[in-house]
Amino acid sequence: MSRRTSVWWGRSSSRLVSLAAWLVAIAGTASILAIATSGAAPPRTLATQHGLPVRVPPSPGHADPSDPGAPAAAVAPKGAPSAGAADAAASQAVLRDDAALAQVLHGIAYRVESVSPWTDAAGEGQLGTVVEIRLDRPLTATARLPGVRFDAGGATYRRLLIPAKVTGATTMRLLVDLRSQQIVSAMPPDAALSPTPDTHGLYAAPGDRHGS
Amino acid sequence: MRVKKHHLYLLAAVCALAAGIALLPVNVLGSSTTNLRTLGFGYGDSIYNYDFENQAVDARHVDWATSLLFYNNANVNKIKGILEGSYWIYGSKENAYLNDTGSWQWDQDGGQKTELPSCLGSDAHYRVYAPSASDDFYNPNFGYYLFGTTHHDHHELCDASYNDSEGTEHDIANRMSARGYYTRYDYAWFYNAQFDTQGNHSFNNDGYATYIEVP
Repeated sequence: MSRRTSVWWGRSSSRLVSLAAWLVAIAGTASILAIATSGAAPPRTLATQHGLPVRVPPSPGHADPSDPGAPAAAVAPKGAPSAGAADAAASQAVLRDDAALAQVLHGIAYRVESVSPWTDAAGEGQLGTVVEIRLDRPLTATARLPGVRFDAGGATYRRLLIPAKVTGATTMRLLVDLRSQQIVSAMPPDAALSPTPDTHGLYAAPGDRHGS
Repeated sequence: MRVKKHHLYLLAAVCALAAGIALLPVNVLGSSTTNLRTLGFGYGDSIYNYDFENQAVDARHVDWATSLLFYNNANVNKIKGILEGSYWIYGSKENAYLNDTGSWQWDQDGGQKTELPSCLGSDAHYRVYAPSASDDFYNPNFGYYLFGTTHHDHHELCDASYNDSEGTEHDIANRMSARGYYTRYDYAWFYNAQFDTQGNHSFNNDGYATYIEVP
């Protein structure tokens, strides 16, 4: 590199570095401002609106005060929404063909009591369905139950097989992943479950979603 | 050594960027609701009707619906003391945003649960919130009061899942009533009825809160 080129490069690089430094400084400052305001208090008007009025406590010996929320309560949902017909049919087809569920049930027949949507942790994308089933007779067996463990962000899950002793279960809750067309969780109620000597090896790893 | 001006700019820029990165909140992808509202208790007091996974008001990062209200002469330590015979294990902390006579602030509570985490077991878990300086609100309608959320934890050390806010609300109502506290189960509409399953978090909240008088 000639001296002239070197001098030109030196001046240009100095300007470029200064320009880059300014751009990074602006970006850094903007990120601080964005972060500082992202979790900030809601608009000031909320502090003066006082919110929706709630029912005041009862006074012994007096009639109960009315509930100002009663009109809203009257039109609120009363239970879980059912899955759409197509998802319900697809879920029932998965149940019929799932070898893992058949193995857990040991030939016990069942009927489907409800099928409702199962979404991702943000409630935006549908993963599949939650299916509640009732068994024709109590299930008592030692089984490896399919289960799911969500990551810390709650966006993805890993599949597990959990060794457990099942005693007298008459219902099960299934998670059907309609993307993979598989039952990824099949759990009797906790009261019907007890650990086996193999159960201890499944404790959650750091980073898994824990606590709510 | 001579320090050039653009070196100072660069240093300032790196510091600013580093500060920005250091301040980034650790956002856990939470559960969401379409029912997030402020509830007013009169005299400038108000709360949000869900607690939050972070200290940010965000309908996409809520934890549980508000389902309990202790009133008359309640405070956080008194409630925990009454229930500690059954609810004795500390839980992970969540956040409530509340307005005490016109001043918004955050309170944080891990609450108490009934069992140690296990692979196949479950526990009932509640959290209670109030202005942290006093551990209670006060106004003439409700006396000294505070509010809480409820749920069940399942299989926390294996395939963890969380649900049944109604079940724990009912359990606490029964325990308080059995101890002689005047309890009105599902007494007031709190605008947070929600029934859905998001990841490992299932809402089945009927939208009504239980009121418990604490003398």
